[in-house]
Amino acid sequence: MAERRPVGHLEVFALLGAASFLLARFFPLLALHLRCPLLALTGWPCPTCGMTRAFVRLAHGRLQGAVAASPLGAFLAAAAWAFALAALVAWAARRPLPSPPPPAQRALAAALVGLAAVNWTWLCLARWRSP
Amino acid sequence: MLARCARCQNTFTTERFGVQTCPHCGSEVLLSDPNAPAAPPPTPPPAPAAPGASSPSWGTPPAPPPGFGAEPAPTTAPPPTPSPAPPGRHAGAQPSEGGWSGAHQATVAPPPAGWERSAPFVDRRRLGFLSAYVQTWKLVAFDPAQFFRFVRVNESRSAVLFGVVALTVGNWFQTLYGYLVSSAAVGLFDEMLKKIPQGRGGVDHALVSALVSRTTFAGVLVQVLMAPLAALFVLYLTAGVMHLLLLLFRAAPRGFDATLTAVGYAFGLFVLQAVPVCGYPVAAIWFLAAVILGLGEAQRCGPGKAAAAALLPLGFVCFCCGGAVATMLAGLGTISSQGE
Repeated sequence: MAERRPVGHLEVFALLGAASFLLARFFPLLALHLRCPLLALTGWPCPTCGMTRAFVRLAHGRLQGAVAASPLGAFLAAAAWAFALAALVAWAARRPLPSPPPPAQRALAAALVGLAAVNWTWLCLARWRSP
Repeated sequence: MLARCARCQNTFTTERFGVQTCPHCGSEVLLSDPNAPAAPPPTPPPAPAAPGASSPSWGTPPAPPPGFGAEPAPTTAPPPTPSPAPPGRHAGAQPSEGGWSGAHQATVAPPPAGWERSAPFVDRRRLGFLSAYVQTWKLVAFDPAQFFRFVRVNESRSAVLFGVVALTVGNWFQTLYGYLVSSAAVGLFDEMLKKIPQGRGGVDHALVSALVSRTTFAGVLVQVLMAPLAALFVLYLTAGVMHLLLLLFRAAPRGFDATLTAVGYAFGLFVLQAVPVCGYPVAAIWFLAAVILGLGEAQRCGPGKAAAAALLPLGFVCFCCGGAVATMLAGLGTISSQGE
């Protein structure tokens, strides 16, 4: 019988991903009226605007609403929860989570930064078009 | 002869071998003597340096910072000695470094791996939790460059625990202060808001209700219970974002463990949140300085890239949250003008 591996960083990230789902699904985050200070001041969204709404809406199965709030938020929520699920499966199967090699990590980092820029542009355009 | 610094890659001229100080970045480098007869025998570790002593030289095993880590276990191998140079190559020369010129070519040896030490907090079972915590905290706070230069990065669990404890305790104190102060403040704020007509420029009373709900005992209890999880989340998120940027800058040769170690120990400074009023800003600024030094030393990437990785997310937060202060000031301005 194979021994269970100690919890590593990937497993911690997976746990945090699972916790984010539980928080978005069962905790009344939107009732806290968290407001973006930049949006309140200038009327223009910050790059992370709508992330909370995207997580909450996706946790409640409202994909369209989540994407409308923040496409990057919806993507990150889906990715985080899929990663948590994969980690759970790997843990049950007693297999290690695959760790990407450094070039892939660098490409992933660049892709995330690029996605954040595209997301911000999209949010600003949506704000500009809205009356 | 011309020598090149392993850290900043700049060259400088020197007339002697041994430990040198790089005139460009100030780091200590060892120029090994190619005419040395044989590898020196391993020297015993020197006595711990006096408080305030300068950083250890690379020529001998470094004296750990005052109170820094347990003495190496008896089974620990002594610092590796340079192997005999192959024919045609100077002792300690590394072919990949290249770029040497002049008649005498000397090389800069990287610090041997055996010089790393565990943080005192790793040895908390022997030292006692509080004692180990305080010793580590002092090193992080007052000698971060030396601490992060020598700390082992494969013991990041202790760093995470160190940071989570500090953030949790700091948050508990902040929550307590908030609970004691905010009830009166929110009541006063609500009274002031009632004088402002609702409309485009008005302030939503739901916001005040939300603020009030956070000052209830149940709200405080939730904050207290969630503080450790929130601390873990903040720590990993911060380390993740900084590591992402370090990866982009090609400045993370020692992996996520090194980033997490630097961020985790630096987060220990947030225990200063326990000091009312000025605790948080002082902790935040101190954290920033420690994490820049820590990332630079732990990842061996230098302070420039570390500063970029640490300051870019902070700049973003300032960009967004700077608006909060401005909004608050604008709101207060509106309130005073309404009152006149």
